[in-house]
Amino acid sequence: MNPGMTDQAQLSTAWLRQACHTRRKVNVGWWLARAMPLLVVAGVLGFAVIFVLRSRGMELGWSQVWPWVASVFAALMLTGWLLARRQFISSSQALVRLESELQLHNALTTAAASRGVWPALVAKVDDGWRWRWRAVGGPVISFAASLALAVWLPVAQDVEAKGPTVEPQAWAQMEDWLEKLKEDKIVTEEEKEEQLAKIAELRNQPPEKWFSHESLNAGDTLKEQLQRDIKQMAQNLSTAERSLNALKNYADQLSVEAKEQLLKDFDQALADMKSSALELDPELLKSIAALDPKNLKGLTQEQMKQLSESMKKKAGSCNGMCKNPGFLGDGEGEDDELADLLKKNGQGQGDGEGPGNGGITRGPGTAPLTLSDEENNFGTNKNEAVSNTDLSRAQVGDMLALQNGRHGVDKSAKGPQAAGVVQDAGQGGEQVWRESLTPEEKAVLKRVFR
Amino acid sequence: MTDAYASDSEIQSASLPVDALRRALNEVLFGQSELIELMLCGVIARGHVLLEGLPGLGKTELVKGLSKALNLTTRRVQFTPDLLPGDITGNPVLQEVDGKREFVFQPGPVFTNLLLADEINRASPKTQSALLEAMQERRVTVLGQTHVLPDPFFVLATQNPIELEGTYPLPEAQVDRFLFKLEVLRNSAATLAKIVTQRELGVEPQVASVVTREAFAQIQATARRIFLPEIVADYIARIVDATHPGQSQASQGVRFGASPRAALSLAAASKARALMNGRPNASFEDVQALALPVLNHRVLLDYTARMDGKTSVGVVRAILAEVPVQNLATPRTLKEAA
Repeated sequence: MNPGMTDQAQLSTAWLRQACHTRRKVNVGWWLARAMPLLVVAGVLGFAVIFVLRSRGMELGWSQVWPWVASVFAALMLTGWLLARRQFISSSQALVRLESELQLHNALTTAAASRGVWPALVAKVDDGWRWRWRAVGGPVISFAASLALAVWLPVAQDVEAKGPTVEPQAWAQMEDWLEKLKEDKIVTEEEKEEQLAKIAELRNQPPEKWFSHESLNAGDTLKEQLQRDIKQMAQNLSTAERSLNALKNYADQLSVEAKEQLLKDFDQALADMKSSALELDPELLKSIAALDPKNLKGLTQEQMKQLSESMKKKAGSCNGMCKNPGFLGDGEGEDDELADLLKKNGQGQGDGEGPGNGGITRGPGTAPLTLSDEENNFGTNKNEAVSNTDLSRAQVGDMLALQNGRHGVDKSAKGPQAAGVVQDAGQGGEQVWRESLTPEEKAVLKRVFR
Repeated sequence: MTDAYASDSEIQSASLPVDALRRALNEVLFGQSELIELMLCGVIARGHVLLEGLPGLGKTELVKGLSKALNLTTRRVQFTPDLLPGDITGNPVLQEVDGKREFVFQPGPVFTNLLLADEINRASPKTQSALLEAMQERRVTVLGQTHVLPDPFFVLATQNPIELEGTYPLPEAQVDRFLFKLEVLRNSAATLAKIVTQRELGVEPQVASVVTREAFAQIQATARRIFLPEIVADYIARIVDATHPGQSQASQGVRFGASPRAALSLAAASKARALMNGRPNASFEDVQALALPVLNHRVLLDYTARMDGKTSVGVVRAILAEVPVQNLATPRTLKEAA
């Protein structure tokens, strides 16, 4: 065997091995370069996923996590390899890299093409590339650290969202009122249940919405409606009771108009009670409707008293509710009106020294502003200047401005002059050069005509 | 059958006369070994060379020495503004031949192996253009008749970078025909002392003919068959491409880049350099060493770049720094060794 050939074969093997080493180094470099960003992203996502799962109460330890981590890591490295494959270099390219780095004058490429001999191996074959350890290690450490943090970081577990411990006050108030109305046999059980169903509908909302604007608004509206109904019921009961009481006990003292008025009030109250939104207890309504106010003499004093007491008690009960905190307004006293009726009877049908104060709905006093000291001031005689700074919107004929001005009258002496005499030499030329020439031009003129 | 690529024995046999030429020329021109190396590389690559330098630096002496060492016929033409194309190529002269008068072509000085065109930029563009066909196709056409020039044929032109009044810058087409544009630099004090010691004013140095015409033709033929690896050809192509505006960062301010002829010239010169160094292949290092003399006169800068002080030499150097030998990206995980 030719020893030279053997040497060449050995050199060829050695150089090609070096080229493979360089190729592997570069290709691994590309693989890591493509996989590292994926690893960083996966670390962040993994951190978020594990953290969320743990915060929802899932117990996650390393034993549960590491198989997943290993799988994801393997998948990412595989993806990185697939992405990097296009940039992988071949052995011949690695050979070129080696010869250019070692200043071998392309001897390796030439030898590989069988156009020259393989050069002798150098003592230290260096492909000129160094690992950038920070770029390699950083993402791996970041990935591991993210997952470790996600597993080990203490986390406050989410507690079930509980609703508020208290509910809107209006609901309890309404329930109290309805309970009281039921106890006093003012409304029926059905009516109470109907009203309670409305409250329950509000209560059935998610607790976090109890104090929302819509819920509070609906609750207040319901409460105001119930208040109005209770108040109306109290007024109707009071009116009916008062009318019956007056017709029974003071019939002799009342005038015919007053009796008719009381009868009318009774009928109106009864009609209102029948048509009330808050349904009155049927027994009570029946007992009141059974009465004939024109013929109350049939009733014994005891019966009348019992009925009156019952109505008064129910009206008082309703009024009592009306005096609770948060209730609308106050009630109106009934004895005042009776007193007025009795008083009107004395003045209106007596001797009649003067006119009365009008109907029962008319109170004393004067109409507002009738004799007021204030006068209406429309500013009719006030003049204000109006200016228009926006001339684009000015109308034809608008005055834009006024200013004082004088005509430029030439006041120099004028008259007959002798020939050849010049009175005014004029300043035209001087004015031109003083005002229209540049400083440089003035300087030139001064130099010329010095 | 001749192999497509030069064999080791051919390369070895070429190295002896090349070394002899190198020694002979170094005896003519002291302290200019790099210039001599490039000059030899140029003639081995069958290229024309443009020498630029101040008067008295030995440009003409070098050319004359080369012609003597190569044993080639040499003509010298001093270019002046009143020189006419016919003064270069030759003129048809009316002569009586066999009782009949007819035009007979009288060859001009271009019919030689080595034409020394001294101060070429002093001739008018019309006269300069007379050399275009001669330089590229190695023939001249006069009155419709084509006359082939002797082989080998080189034009070694000189031009003076000072006293530019009354000169005509060479047109781009002609500049492109020169393989190299070499700058002749002044000598160091030590070299000057050697010149003063060993030379006499007005006495030409004696140069022996060291290579025969046939041997030189063989050297040229061997140089053509030097192996040019594909990766080196790709490198040449990327360098020439990078000279064009927009093709590289370094080409900012370039108005016109180098032509394909420049790429061919760079490849031929690289092969010649490889032969001169006894290698069977051209390499990245050859390309890098020759890119400047091949490209610097082919890269034309725009007015703004010239005003900014940019030079074509600077652009070529920047291109060499920018274009990697291999068109491969490096992964982020690896870095170049410091």
